[in-house]
Amino acid sequence: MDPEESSQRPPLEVTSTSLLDGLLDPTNDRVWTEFFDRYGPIVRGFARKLRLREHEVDDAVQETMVTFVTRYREGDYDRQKGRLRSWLCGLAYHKIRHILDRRLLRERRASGRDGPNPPLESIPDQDHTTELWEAEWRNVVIRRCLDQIRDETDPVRLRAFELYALQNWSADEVAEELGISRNMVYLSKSRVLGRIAKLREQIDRDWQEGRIS
Amino acid sequence: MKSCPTASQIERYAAGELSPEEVEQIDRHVEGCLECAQRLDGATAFADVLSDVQQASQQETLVVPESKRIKTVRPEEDSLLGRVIGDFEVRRLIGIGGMGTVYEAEQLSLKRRVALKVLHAPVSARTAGVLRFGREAQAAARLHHTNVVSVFAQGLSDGLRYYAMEMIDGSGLDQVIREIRRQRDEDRASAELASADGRTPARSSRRSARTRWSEFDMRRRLVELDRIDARKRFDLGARLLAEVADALDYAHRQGVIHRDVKPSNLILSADGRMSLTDFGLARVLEQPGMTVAGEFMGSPLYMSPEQVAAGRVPIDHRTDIYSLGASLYEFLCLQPPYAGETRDQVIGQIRRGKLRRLRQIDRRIPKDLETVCLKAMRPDPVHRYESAGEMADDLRRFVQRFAIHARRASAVTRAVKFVRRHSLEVGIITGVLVVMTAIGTAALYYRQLQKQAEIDLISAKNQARESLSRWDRYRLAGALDQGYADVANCQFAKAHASFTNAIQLVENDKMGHLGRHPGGYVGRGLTGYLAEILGVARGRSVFADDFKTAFALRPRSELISLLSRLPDPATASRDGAQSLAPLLAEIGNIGDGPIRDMTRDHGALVYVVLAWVALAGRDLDLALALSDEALAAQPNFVASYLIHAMVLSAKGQLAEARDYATWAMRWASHRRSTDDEQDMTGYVVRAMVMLVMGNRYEAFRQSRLVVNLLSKRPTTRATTRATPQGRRRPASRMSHQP
Repeated sequence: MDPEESSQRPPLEVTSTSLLDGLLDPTNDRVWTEFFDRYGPIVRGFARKLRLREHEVDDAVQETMVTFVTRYREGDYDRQKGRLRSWLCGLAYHKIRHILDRRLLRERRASGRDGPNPPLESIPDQDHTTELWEAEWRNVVIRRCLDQIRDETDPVRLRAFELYALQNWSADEVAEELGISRNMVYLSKSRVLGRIAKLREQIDRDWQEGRIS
Repeated sequence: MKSCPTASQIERYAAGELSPEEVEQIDRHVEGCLECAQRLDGATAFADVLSDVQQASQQETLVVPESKRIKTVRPEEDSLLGRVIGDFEVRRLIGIGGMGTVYEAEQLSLKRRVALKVLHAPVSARTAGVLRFGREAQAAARLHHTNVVSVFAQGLSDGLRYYAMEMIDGSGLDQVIREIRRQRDEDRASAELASADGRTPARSSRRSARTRWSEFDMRRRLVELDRIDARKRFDLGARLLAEVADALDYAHRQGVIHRDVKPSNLILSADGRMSLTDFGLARVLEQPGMTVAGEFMGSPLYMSPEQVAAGRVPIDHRTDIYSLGASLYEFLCLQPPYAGETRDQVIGQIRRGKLRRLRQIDRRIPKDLETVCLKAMRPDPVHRYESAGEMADDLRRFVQRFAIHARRASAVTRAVKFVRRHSLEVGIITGVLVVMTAIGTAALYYRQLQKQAEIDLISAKNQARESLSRWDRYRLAGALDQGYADVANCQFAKAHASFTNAIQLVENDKMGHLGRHPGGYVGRGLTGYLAEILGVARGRSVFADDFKTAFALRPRSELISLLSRLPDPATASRDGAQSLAPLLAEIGNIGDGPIRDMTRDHGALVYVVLAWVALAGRDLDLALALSDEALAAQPNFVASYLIHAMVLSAKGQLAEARDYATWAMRWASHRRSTDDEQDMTGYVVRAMVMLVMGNRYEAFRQSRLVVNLLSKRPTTRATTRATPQGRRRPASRMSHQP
């Protein structure tokens, strides 16, 4: 094969640093999967907090993701104007609201109280939900950090951190349970938290800018 | 670093601002200086990230997965290679489990290979760990069975606790399952590739696999059988698991419960024997008939519902039957019975017990084998096999094509099985019969046509009757739906009317189409009860009578029986937690079953009412769980938000309580209209919300408005003692505030 010809083809694997660039290529499944794994859980948690029913939550995630990609490919998202995080939040909010309004309307019709419009108070306005979105974002990022930490941290140290910092065991109990010194228990906590803080910063930045590091 | 780091260095360390060299210096220092370790522990820079981690980790567990533990070799485990421990010389590391490390070793006196399990050093230091290790050895040592891995000796040497057991060259059933799964994936991928290339998938591997069978060990044989003839894999699996069931039956009769039966504890030897190992969680029942409380240990994927109940339900040998059923389940369909991302999710699913039927996953799985598996995994131990021996029998009956005992086979099923066992004889006899029958049939055919006309007429009449019955059921469902929609809008009078309508439909049902349906009474009773709680009562006697009538119609319904014994909402909080305790225990028990099966609106209303009772009885965890269910079932329900806010407030989670209170308020104001009853509901909600938010003055003001409205009501509407109840209600709620 002519080397020049092959270089003109779109890459099948992610080679650029941008997840968003990869989304422009419809054949790039890896990017789509990463995109879905990354932002899907945030939309899912957000939809649950706004009290969507479980089957509606699935719809909300799927519709938000598909709309994001479609509109991004159509050039609706301008990276210079706003952050990906808030744009995605807006899309998710409108999808969720649409689903909820649709349900309320259906229920009103079923109960024979046909009103002019579905109620506007179906969910709070977007300003009031931003905080929920942010909390969910933080949660999912931390969970991603924990996944990574699991793979790279010594299991005894991780267990010491878990028992001491998350399950409120005393340092003495943890030391006895795992057969390590108390100092090591304290050190495990600080090393794991320090690592999480660094990872969080990096993942948060990458996710906000739609990058792959 | 010899001197202690300064406070600023510690904070910079925690904030990640130091260079790697400085970090290493501080690490080394802290390892030997307890004071600095404690200072580091209190560094403020960690507070923010720790709180986020705590919040995120509520939804999952960090516990190190078993697979990762096994890969990690600690220094002391490496150093044992080549050492002599007691009579055993350590040769090779086989694996690391939760309690100890398993090595291949040679017993020097008898010159035989054994598997040597050595207790982990940290576990050795703890008395409980030593006891458990000893128990494992003792439990296994008292069992002598072909399908139980034998224990030869145990001892203590140079501070190392160990026991020696039979060495089996083979692999765990979990590995076999993994391999079959991988093989299927590969086959599927190559078939797809072949079809994409326009080729037909290669079949030659089948034939060659058959010819090479003699070279395979049992594990390979199972994997290959899955490709060649899945039915034979099922037969072989059933035979192997029947042996394990025999072994379990034997252990149970010796008074030993394994408690951790799972595929990785079923070892398949190369020569085709499946043995039970790892008695680490086993319990020895010293007295026959005695049961033990379950402890929450072991792998949740294969745990029985009573085991995940963690001590609240006694467990007996039937927990092993369940776990063996779960292992069979995974062997058959290649996926565990319940899947979940976290331990809590798996446990939740086991409790709910909604198992996916095997034949929905793989149609090739024989019905009888599915029946055996599902009977072993019945959520209630009473419905499982009485003993592992019975399960073994049924597995063998399946292999030999006899009708199994698990499901009483119909005459047809028995006949089919008989035919399969004696296919040649039956074939000849059937041939003769077919010829004779054909002659007879032709003669009968003409008469049959005449009869058909009569049958058509009867069937038309039946259809007409059926459509009438369907219409009646449709009307009843409509009235009930309407009632619940009204309750969701806090329109209690309308809801009352809708449910009354449903009741009349049932009472006027002369044809018996509706089967004395109690739904109207239940709905009307719940509406009355909720109205009482919210202080917009229409009278206690009505709801009490309704529940009683419903109970008379369905005396065997757990839920209705419970409702008919609900306390008077006015006195519930006064009576206190103790008097409600038995009722709360019952609510906790039935919370999962009957209510979940109801329609969303109905379920939500029941959850709300029960949550109020739990709140009055001060069982806050139960109240929270119930109110959470109410919200999940029906997010449009003002009362759901309100009760959730009240419970959170009583638990001291004020910030969250306020969120939900605000939601309740939003919904209540959305429901406002000119109807005075709705207005009053709005005031009541607002009064309670203000209480949750700690604004007692505003709460008082709103409750005065309710009192004013109640006093203006015409007496015909405020039946019985609605007014005095309404006056007292806001005050009684005060007692729930923290």
